[in-house]
Amino acid sequence: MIDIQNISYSYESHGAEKIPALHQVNLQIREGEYVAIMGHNSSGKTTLARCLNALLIPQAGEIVIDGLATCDEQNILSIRKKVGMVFQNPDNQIVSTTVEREIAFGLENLGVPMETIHQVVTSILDRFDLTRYRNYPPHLLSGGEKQRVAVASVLAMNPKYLVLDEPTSMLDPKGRRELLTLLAEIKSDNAAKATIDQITMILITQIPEEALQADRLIIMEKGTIIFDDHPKIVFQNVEKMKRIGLEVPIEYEAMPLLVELGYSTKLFEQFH
Amino acid sequence: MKIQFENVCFTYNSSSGKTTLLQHFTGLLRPSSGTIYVDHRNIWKKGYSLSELRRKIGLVFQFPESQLFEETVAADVGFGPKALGLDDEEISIRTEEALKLVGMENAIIGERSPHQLSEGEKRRVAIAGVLAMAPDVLILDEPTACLDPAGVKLVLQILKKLHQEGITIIVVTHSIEAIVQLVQRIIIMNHGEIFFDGVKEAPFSNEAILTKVDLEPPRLVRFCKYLQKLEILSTCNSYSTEDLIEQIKKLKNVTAP
Ligand SMILES: Nc1ncnc2c1ncn2[C@@H]1O[C@H](COP(=O)(O)OP(=O)(O)OP(=O)(O)O)[C@@H](O)[C@H]1O
Ligand SMILES: [Mg+2]
Repeated sequence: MIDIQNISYSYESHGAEKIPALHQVNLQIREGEYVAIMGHNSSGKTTLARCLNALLIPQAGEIVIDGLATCDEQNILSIRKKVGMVFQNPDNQIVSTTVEREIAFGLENLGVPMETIHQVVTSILDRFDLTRYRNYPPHLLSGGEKQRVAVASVLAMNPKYLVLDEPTSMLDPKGRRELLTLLAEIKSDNAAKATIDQITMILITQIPEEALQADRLIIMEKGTIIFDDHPKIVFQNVEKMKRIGLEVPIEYEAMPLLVELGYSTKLFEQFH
Repeated sequence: MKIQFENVCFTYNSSSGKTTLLQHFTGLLRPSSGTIYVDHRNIWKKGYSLSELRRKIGLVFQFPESQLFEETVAADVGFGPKALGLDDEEISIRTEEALKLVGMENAIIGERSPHQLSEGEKRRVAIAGVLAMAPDVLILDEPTACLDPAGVKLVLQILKKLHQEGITIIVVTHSIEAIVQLVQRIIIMNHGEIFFDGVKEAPFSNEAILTKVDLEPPRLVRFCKYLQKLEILSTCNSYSTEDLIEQIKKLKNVTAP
């Protein structure tokens, strides 16, 4: 379980204003949950993600992951093993000279035996449809392909908690859907194998449709959490969402008007 | 392919070669064959000034990080005007204005490092930097990625206004949904080739064209069609959520007693 207890974070060089990037955030995420996070630009989403794998340590409050506090330096390695993080900009994450080595990189760092690495890399390449790019230098890939490599290389390490910071921003609609389907598959595969811990997914996104896939949607505004509920419930707050500069999926905006006209909400349940 | 005073949108399935194409436009890459003419002049002919070309064409990169390199946001946005040889006063006026356009304030953010911004803030600063150069042609690679909906609206408004002022705008994006309100012409790339080049109406709602290149009709269109199937709507010609909501509101007036 991820237990975020009343954390606040301010960047040192945060300019004249000194508005904290995170302000008294409380959040508990249970194992196996699929949580989406949305919020306006600079609302603190990435900062929260960085706190989850101990890249940043909150100045107030505490984050405890499976009993390990992120503020204790001794825990950092175990926390990074548990919490895999896909960065918002793949260029900040990809370090290797070929796609294959990029995916192997994290495993090597974890001290996994060569043979196992080879197996994992081959199956991940296949799963992410990247086999033909095996020996490609990542910097020659398109933005969308880089994002796929970034997700693949984090998943190769089989993290228990997977934090994805806008992983689909450079993908076309089909690529986006495929990646999310793949993630959902991996999640349910994991659930089927009772021996493995259930993977927990935390997906940061600007795209309302993506959030609909999650079981829980968190909305951030100016460093605080203002909604935390099932996406279907959160998206009913059309006006409030608009006021903070966000959007809801089109059907949620249209629904109240159509209901007023006498149409049943049931009609819209079939729309995906 | 020829582009004149118009808004063009390139759309693509990931990796179909559009970023590469853009780099050709600005002389960042040299084509292995073929010729590129800008204002009737071959840009790779001896004597052609590529630096002049880059002054004419403003390019916003796919990842803003690739173009933010100064120590402060203000210096970064002011870099283009400085390179144009403008005086300090003009540089600071342009910097301030460009930042304001993208919804940021020089007084608040100007002295911060561009690398210590959130992703959406970085993109706004990168766009401001190109706007400050006041180029004749503006090319933007995924300008709305990572922007929040309010930011997307802002960028679309800016581009619309610039287009009205006579600037040619070329936008590369997979998010047809956002950009379709702005452009007149859409070019769809597929595996390094032009697959479609024509008015936006065709690919926006034509599933056959889109699925051939692995694109999908926007959710808005799918919802419109869904309402049509339920016989709630009779036509489906909205380009934005606002349009559709208006369309639905009119329905109400029709059926009200
Ligand atoms: N490295 C940094 N140094 C200083 N301030 C930072 C740094 N990174 C982010 N900030 C500031 O912290 C606040 C929160 O940023 P954060 O990146 O968490 O936002 P976000 O919700 O991820 O935004 P976006 O949607 O734009 O990615 C912003 O005001 C931003 O300017
Ligand atoms: Mg972010």
